[in-house]
Amino acid sequence: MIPANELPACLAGLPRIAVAGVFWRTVAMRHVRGAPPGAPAGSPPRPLWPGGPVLRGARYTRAGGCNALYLAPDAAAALAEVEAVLFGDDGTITPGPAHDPLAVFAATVDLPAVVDLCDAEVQRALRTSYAELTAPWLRAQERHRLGRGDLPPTQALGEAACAAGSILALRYPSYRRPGVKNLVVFTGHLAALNGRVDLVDESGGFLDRLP
Amino acid sequence: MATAVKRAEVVAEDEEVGEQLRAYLEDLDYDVEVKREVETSVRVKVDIIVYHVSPDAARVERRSKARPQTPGKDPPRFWLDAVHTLSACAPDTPILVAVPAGEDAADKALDSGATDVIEATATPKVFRRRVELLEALSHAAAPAAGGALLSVPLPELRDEISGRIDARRVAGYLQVPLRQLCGALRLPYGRVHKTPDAAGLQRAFAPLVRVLELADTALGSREAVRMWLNRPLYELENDSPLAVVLAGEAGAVQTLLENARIGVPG
Repeated sequence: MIPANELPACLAGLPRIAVAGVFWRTVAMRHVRGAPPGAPAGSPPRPLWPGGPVLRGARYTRAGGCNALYLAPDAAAALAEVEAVLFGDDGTITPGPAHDPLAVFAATVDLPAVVDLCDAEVQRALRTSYAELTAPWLRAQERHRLGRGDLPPTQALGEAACAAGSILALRYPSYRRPGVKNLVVFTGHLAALNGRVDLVDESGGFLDRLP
Repeated sequence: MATAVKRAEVVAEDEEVGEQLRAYLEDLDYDVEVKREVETSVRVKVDIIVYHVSPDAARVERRSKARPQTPGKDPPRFWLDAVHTLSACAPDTPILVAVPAGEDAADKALDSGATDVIEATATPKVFRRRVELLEALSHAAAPAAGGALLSVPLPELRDEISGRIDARRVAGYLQVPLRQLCGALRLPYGRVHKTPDAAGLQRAFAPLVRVLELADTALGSREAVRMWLNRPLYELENDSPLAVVLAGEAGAVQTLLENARIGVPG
């Protein structure tokens, strides 16, 4: 990855693509039985609540950084991201370890300004690679927190992309399911950049949309 | 068996509207109190609050969001402040705000603490449906009795007398020498050995104990937790959670478990 101080200029020159369609998210059931943290009591559940990743950090989200919504392009990939199912190298699917009940939500997205990290040209411009984009980041984050190292490269990239203000989302490769392209949406920019994410629920049990 | 009484509070400047809302709510078996303005004093706990914004009130409110009010002052003059005051005085109560049609009042109400909004011209059927949905939400959001707040996960890691984390017990749980654990946490072994539940040690041990609590909750038994602790994971650079803890990076394991718990992807 290019140094953090070079990221803003590089990101400014990268092509934007539009991404639209149905994407998926897995949420623990207990988190959709009530209001998300910080919301007024009695508020409705928010299956699209984007505040989780900033609590302790995520692959493209620094702890305490920008709110972000992580989405997968199909339900199986969304389940794989939380290890509810495991994909073998040959594409076989096996159940993951036992866990609390999960809910899988679909959302229609319309994102006109996405940087595609799966694009070889984009990777070249950023001097990154599939290996770096799918590398473990937890210990690097902890070492950074303890003052022993840099921010994980993917978090530095996510931070710069969000700070740019002109990028709605990054499309990135999943490490749990090779070949799958996930999205991390910077929800704070949806209104300004004409993006939107609408929960699919014709039953009306959950009403959520961003912005 | 007696049925619990449901209480509702209606706030409406217009007396006629207030009585109409009272009738709607009484049809839903609510015991209703109608007020002309928001009271800032101590209030009776109710199950739902309905606040009506008149077209005149909507017109004179030019701001988009309430400003914090000084507690104990007179009733708020503007409706956004009134909604905000209600949400501050009754943070656990759903607040339904009835707004004039075709204005931006709905967004303003939501930004100022309303739980939900409805157009003031809504039919009784729509109003009833909205109140029923809010009731359902309120029940779903209520914490279960005896929840996590009143439980102590892994009490065996704590001293029965002081109630504090005991370093020797943590080392025993992990099956690592106390000296090695102290080294990982950069703590003086002699001091820890002498008073393993010292108040001054609690902060250093808290992330590690949180890891054990989360793993115990997820895996269910001490044996399963130990197996998990000793299994190398890709997410931890192919080291085991225990090795990462002993490298002084327990926070990485904690993030792994906390994120798995709330469903943040890896």
